[in-house]
Amino acid sequence: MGLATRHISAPGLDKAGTFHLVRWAKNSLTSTITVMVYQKFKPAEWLIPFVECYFLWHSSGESVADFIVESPPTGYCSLVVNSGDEYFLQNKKYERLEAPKQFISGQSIYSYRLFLGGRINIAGIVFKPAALATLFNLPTYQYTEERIPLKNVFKAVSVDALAHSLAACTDENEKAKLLEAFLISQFSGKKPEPDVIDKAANLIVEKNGLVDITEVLKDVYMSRRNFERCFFKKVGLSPKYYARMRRMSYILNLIAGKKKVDWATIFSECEFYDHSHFTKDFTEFTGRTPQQYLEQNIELANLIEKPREGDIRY
Amino acid sequence: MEILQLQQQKLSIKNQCVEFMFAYQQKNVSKMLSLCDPEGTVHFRPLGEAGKGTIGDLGKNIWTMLIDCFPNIDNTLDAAVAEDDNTVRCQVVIRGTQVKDFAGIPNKGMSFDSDHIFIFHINTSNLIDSISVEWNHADFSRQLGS
Repeated sequence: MGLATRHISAPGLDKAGTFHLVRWAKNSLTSTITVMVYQKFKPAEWLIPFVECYFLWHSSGESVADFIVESPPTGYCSLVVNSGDEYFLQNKKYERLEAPKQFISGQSIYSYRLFLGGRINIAGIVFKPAALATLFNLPTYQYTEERIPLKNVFKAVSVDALAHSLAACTDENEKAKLLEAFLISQFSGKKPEPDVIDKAANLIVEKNGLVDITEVLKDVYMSRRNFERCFFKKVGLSPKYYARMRRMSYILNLIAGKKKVDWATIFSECEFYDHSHFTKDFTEFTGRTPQQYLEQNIELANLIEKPREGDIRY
Repeated sequence: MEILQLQQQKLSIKNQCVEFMFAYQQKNVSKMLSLCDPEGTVHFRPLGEAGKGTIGDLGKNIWTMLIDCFPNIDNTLDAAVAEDDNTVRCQVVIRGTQVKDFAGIPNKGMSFDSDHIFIFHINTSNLIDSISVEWNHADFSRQLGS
């Protein structure tokens, strides 16, 4: 699909949360367009320690072709239901892996690319780092860099019901509610409470990884060894490594959409010991040097701009 | 179905490797060895040919010696990632303070803190049958004063 023009609209706010709209004109000679909408919905208040958001991502109009999106490490886990056409994943391990229709993913340490085509219709839940363990008693370390079919984790009948309901539903708010209802139905009656690992991991998220783990330890009343072990089992990474990854996620968010960046300021503000540590971390998590990343990255965030007057708002 | 079984297997192979690193953290060499095929191979790569042997022989000796020479040896498992159907890559930070000479490095009472990569291969009996260990030996020696 040759994209002659790209019109971008975006973040608005509805009662559930934020959304982004990305819209392309297929070419300047025809009126056919592909519209892609990415929406985020906030969870119920009591689920905030566990759920970052629900998301919906769909296209309409002309089919999408050869659409590639890059995703850097975010520090979150997710549950994904694809009601659209198949798409493929490329990462350090797989050259081209077809994503399962419904899956749970643990921490992604390295950047990966999605290759999408046809009709996009994806919904999902973005989980806080320790939530899979707290909510479902899953050993999250086993899920690091993995996409596990949802039916390996939950009853097939529940998964089929969710997939069917999402595919049939046309109202975005209702879809978000379906995701939340599914989530609540999967833990057995007892209202979950965040434990010290949830709180420590969420603190690292809130502080964008700019946190001294020794300081975190003071509030958890555990030995370092025990804390590290529990954290690893629940989050999938050690606390220090997770903080390093989260800090990189923050930096990638800061530079998203930019072609020129003051690296010295960034590595200083993000408390890197020196430039070589910054470059080492950057290369480890993205697979490229900072400059290469700026020149080549194709994150979804790059396709989204601030709203302009007259843009559509929902 | 085959893909599902493969993914289940991938999940379970990580258990052995994580348990191995936790046993190492507890300085429990017997437990470490119980997770392995004693005839399996180990390669401490920076040591070259001298670092090649069987898990039950060379592996046991080196880990026992390390614990003896660095009694407070400890590790932090940063991440465990399945590389293929039978292989897991563990990123580990190992640290300790020297109290005895070790592998040609005289004891100066200094400490090290070193990134290590362990590559584990798991056999069909779910035992570790190959371990490859990589670290920056020059930096390790430098930290210990050599």
